[in-house]
Amino acid sequence: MLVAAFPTHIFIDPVAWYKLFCKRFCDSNRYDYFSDSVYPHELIENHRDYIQPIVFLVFHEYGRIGFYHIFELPDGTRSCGIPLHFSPADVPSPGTATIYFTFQSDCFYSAKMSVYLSEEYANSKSLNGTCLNTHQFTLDTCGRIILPYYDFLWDEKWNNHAVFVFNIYLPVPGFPDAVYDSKNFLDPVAIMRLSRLNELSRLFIQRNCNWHVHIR
Amino acid sequence: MYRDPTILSVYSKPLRCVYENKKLRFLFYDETPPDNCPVYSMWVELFFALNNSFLAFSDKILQLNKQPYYINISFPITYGDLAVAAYIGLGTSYFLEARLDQPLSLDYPWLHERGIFDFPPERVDKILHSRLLNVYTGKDSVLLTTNCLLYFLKQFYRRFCILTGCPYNQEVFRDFRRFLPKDLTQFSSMGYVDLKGRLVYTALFADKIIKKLFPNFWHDYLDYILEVPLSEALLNLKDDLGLRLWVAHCMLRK
Repeated sequence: MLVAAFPTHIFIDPVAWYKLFCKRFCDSNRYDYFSDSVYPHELIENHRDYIQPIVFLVFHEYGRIGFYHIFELPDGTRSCGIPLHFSPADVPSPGTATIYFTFQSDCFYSAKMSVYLSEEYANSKSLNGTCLNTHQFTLDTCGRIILPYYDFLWDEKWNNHAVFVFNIYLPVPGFPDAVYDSKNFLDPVAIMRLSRLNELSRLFIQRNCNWHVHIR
Repeated sequence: MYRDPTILSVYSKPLRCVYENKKLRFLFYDETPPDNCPVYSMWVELFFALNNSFLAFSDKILQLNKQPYYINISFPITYGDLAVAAYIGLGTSYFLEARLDQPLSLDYPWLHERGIFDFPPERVDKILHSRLLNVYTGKDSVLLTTNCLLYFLKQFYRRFCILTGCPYNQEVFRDFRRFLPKDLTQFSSMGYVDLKGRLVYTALFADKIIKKLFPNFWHDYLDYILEVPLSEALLNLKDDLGLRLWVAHCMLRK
């Protein structure tokens, strides 16, 4: 699987960022800005000098923002979202998203995203037992993913994944109707108390619980 | 220093919150939390960052004996802190007074607040109690957490000035009252739950404020402040969620 990755220093140094991407944009005037920045996943996964952007899709209950859908994976772990590497448009793989960006004022704004779920998420279940049974779907992203402004760094070993959180307000075309059952959605405190919650989900919830605006 | 043992034992207790019926609320200091409801302590964190670096403060300032320098400066909030933070508000002259003659204490900074502890103990208890009641029935929790944050910033800054001889710049606090909470380029804050399950209200103070608080720090306060490049801070993220979040904020400066 080919995934996007960028040298760590371009996230720290605005001049380096500008040199790498603004110049590339001016030279190419194409949409595949990242075609020169993709690597075999197994080669780059443990490379601490490169940061891999990933999008973390979180699904809010219809009409109740802040209640997140829980995925129970085949190995028994639980997640409150779906992590996906960025992949080039011509070679998408399961577990990746192809994101089409437009370029404005030194930043890239997402326009559309094609999602290719890995087997573990395609076969995941909601809390009411419904199997997701979805392998691919497409979303209009309306500029809500902005490169390089990610939400937090994550990795159990190297912190070399830049996580871009993307909120989805259900329904999503292709999902089974039973997924929208209220029982499948939990609030942040209930999610933090779940057993076997994966680390990325835990970090996301810790970051996004916004407790200070909920004290009464 | 105020030494009434009853007041000390009550108001020095760590502030607790309980999550009950899908709502978060403060527990009173003598209240038993309902069964099966998660209870949290509350903390405030201060970070200081320039364009491509964080400032780390020496243990000579914090005197915690845990490590030589601290990027993350954190304090537990006690009932006394909450009562005083609610009492002072942002509209008082509290932040403009340096009070450099008072004893140093980061453990119980609220013990030194003039205007409260000049009263006899029973009156102090009433004042603090009524402040807490106001907090519990108040609606603006965001403003309250901001008050707490600035209250700890002042205590930390006052301590820094006493130990280093740095002149206390009251203009900074006057500015805060003027631009809070709008000027996000100089001051950003957020709430999160840390890796130990504590509720943390964290803030990042940027260049303009740093230069006012610690003028010429790279020259005058070399023994007390260390500049840590972002590339080095990246290596220390594992156990520090606050730092992890602010690194993301600082990279390419949002």
